[in-house]
Amino acid sequence: MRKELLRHLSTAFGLTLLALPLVGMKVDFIEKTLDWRWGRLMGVFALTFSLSWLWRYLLVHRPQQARSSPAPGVLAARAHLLVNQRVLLLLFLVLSLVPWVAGGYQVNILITAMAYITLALGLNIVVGMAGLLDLGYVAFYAIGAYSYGLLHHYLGWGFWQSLGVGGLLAAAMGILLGIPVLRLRGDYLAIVTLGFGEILRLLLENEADFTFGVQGIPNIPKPTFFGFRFDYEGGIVFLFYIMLGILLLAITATKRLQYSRVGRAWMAIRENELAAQAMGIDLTKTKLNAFGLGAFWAGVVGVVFAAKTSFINPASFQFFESAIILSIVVLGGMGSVLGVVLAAILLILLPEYLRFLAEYRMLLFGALMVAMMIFRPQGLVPRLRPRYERDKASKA
Amino acid sequence: MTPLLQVRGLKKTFGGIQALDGVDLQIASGEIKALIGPNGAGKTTLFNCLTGMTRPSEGQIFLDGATPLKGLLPHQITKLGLARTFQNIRLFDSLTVIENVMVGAHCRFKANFLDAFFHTRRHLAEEKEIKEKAYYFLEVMGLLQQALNSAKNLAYADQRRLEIARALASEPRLLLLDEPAAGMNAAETAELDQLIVRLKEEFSLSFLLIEHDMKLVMKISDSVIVMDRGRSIAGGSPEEIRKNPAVITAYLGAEGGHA
Amino acid sequence: MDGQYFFELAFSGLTRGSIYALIALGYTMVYGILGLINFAHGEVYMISAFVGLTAAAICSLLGFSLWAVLLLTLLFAAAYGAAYGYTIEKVAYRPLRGANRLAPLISAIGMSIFLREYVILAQTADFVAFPSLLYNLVEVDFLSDYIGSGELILTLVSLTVLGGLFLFLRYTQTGRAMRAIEQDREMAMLLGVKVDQVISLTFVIGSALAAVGAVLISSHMGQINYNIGFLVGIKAFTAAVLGGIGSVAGAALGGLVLGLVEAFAAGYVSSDYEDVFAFGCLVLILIFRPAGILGQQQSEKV
Ligand SMILES: Nc1ncnc2c1ncn2[C@@H]1O[C@H](COP(=O)(O)OP(=O)(O)OP(=O)(O)O)[C@@H](O)[C@H]1O
Ligand SMILES: [Mg+2]
Repeated sequence: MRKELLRHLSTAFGLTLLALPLVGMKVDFIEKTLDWRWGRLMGVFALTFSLSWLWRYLLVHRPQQARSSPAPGVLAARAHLLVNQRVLLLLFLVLSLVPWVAGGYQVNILITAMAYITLALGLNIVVGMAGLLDLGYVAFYAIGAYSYGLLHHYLGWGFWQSLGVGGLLAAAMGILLGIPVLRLRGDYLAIVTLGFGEILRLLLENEADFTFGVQGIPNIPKPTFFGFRFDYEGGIVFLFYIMLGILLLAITATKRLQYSRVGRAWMAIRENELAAQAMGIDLTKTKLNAFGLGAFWAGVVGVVFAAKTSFINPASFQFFESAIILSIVVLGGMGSVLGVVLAAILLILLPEYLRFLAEYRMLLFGALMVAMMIFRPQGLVPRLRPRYERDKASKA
Repeated sequence: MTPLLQVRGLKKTFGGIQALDGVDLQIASGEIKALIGPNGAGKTTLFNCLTGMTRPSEGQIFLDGATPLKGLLPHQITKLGLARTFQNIRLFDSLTVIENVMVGAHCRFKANFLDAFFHTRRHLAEEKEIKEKAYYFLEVMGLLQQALNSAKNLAYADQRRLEIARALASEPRLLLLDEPAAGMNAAETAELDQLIVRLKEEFSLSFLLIEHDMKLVMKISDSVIVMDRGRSIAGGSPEEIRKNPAVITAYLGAEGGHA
Repeated sequence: MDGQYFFELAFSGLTRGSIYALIALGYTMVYGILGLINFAHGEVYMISAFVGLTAAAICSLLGFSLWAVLLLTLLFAAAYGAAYGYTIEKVAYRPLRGANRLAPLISAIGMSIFLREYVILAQTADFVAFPSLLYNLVEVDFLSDYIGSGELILTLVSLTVLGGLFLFLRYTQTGRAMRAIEQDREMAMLLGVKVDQVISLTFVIGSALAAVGAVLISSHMGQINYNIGFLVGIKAFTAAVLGGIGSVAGAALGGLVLGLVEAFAAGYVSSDYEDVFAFGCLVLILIFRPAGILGQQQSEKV
């Protein structure tokens, strides 16, 4: 016990020492001042001391299986049972009532949350199902948003035409960028996709004659309803229903794809590329399918995003946006719809309501990603294995 | 009769290593052919060349005497009717046993993602058929009880059997088995014997079988081909091979200790 | 072509390149041993810059001489960089040894986000001024047409550190152990190499080098913020890949090549596209020659 205590004390001491020049001091070179901030340093000490205990405890009690992906627990099974088609529909009905009881602010937040869920579901196809670590996913989101912004600005297109075009254009780009990276191994793929994402953003910034650079594109209109233009509030509510519809489609698509020939091919590639090839799976086609479909959802959400904020600029499409979407997928449990929904709620909605947390949001994101990988790589709600029970009739 | 598979002068180098140095081989349809040879003889490399996973440097491969396989991608070759298992087991670990076999049936079906999204008739009909087929092959391989377990949780011998079930689901004409009995005990090996013979009858399959267990080779193979240092050095009936002095020096000489 | 301008660009490329090389070494050494892209390496660089700032401020408040300030700042930043690198490995990577490939990469991204936010919260999200420690240290006459005295010192310091590392890897017991693990981890373990220790040491050395690079660049640029690690990290990674990831000499070479390429592209094409150029390089190499200049192409055994 004494030894334990000593060990955690020294860990905390070491970490506090690490924090000393960053947390404990602040210098200003121009003013030639040095502030000491002992209070915050004490806080760090207390925090690291308790975290050290927790860490040790979790590490010791980590299930041996956690290293690979263990079987989903009973809890997950129950949770999944809850989310059958009917419950899902009910949930959507309840959600669809929200604009009638809540104000514009709440509705706006919910649109954001639904947008992230859809983005995460899209990325989930690429990363969770097909196992292709894409760190440039935000590029397709940007393509969607800029499709609407530019089509509106130059050609006067409306939301609905742009929605289709944005989605398809993103899908096309997904496939196009997918082609050169087909042969790349996991981590190289990650870096190349990250590179693509950054290149796109830099192009958006630098091609100012066409894209308006860092100034961005203002005055992007909200959707109309068969030509009818809503007032501001009405426009937001309408957008809410559109986003709800898109989310419903995305969830249905994900659920159905999981239990299909294409979905199984994705998972086979994720598990073992060589064996998948040997089983007659066309790697090129299957991977491009995944890239294209994943990008499609990002493009669609991008158009909605442009309509919602009515202003877009490259700053909204930084690498860390991709990282947030990825962390939703990871936190939720790769390949699990319910998990993704829960994770998005946790990561996007919670900080909105717990304002005092907002400042620490990204910090917790990062820490959570590390902790999840170590202690619960299968995510909050791991994907439940499809039953594929044998039909009674065919047993004869 | 044209042979099912014909290989002529196949060569493959890795950097400085001549893994295949002129392999000739014919497999008649309905035949069980055993491929033997000491470690590092190039047997697995030959499999990789046949299934399109490695590109041979030289030589030809024909299916039915007419269709060249060289230059095709692995999935195209599988579709033409060659399926294989792996020496170091390569299952889809976190998928269930039944899903593994269902993936095996992939290339015989057509439904795309739109079918899946709209639950078209094609999707529904195919899904049903895939599942039934997969269960059938599991039954054949004696894995029914395990259908809903993860592949990675299977016992070693069962994993080997699952690899065969998965390969069968692609409806091959020629099945390439890379040391299917490795790691099995005597009883399991004997069972595998019977199974292979049964598969040959039931599905009119041909086999190319890499095997170190000579008993198994002698018992079930119709003919044997021997490789050493990248070459096919002898071929013939098991009896002939047993008596061939070249084989005894190459194979038993090198492996004498534990063969 | 204007000779003066050409040489100016060449020297500026060399200056940059030597720094990329320093940082690239951290990526390459870790990759060589663990097969992992240490995504948080750029953040170690960034944190070291902040530590360097604090150190430099304290040293000059204490009224040390210019040389002393520079050396102490470098030492202090290197020590802290090393400590951060060590801690990151221990927290985010070590528990994941033997997990699937994506897990450590995602953990690394998480760590990287965490460290950025940590600096924002602990210090500031704004740019802060960084003292120019490298100037007025010496008078140089020769070359002064092409390169400033600060850049000259920067290049010399980083080349010296690089040279020191090569000697270390080649001639010390530990260096040999590192290379042994790189070749075959299991064999090295059987031969009694303490793998965990060597891995930790790899992180320590790589991070210390990044810290040296951080102090040098920051005093060259004059300002730092929480975001500087991202771009430099990607560029250094590009350098590592360019030279052949896993190869120490390759990383140094790759760094210099990338620095020159960038300087000339910026000088003769357009400086707006400097970063696009670097990313483009990265993408093209990974796609067409993933083994890099000095790396060996390897094929997976079936
Ligand atoms: N991808 C590769 N890269 C480099 N060399 C290889 C590769 N694959 C095989 N080799 C080499 O080719 C030779 C033949 O190997 P192969 O695996 O075909 O032998 P094998 O007959 O299957 O042996 P075993 O009985 O051990 O399975 C060996 O020397 C091996 O090291
Ligand atoms: Mg072999």
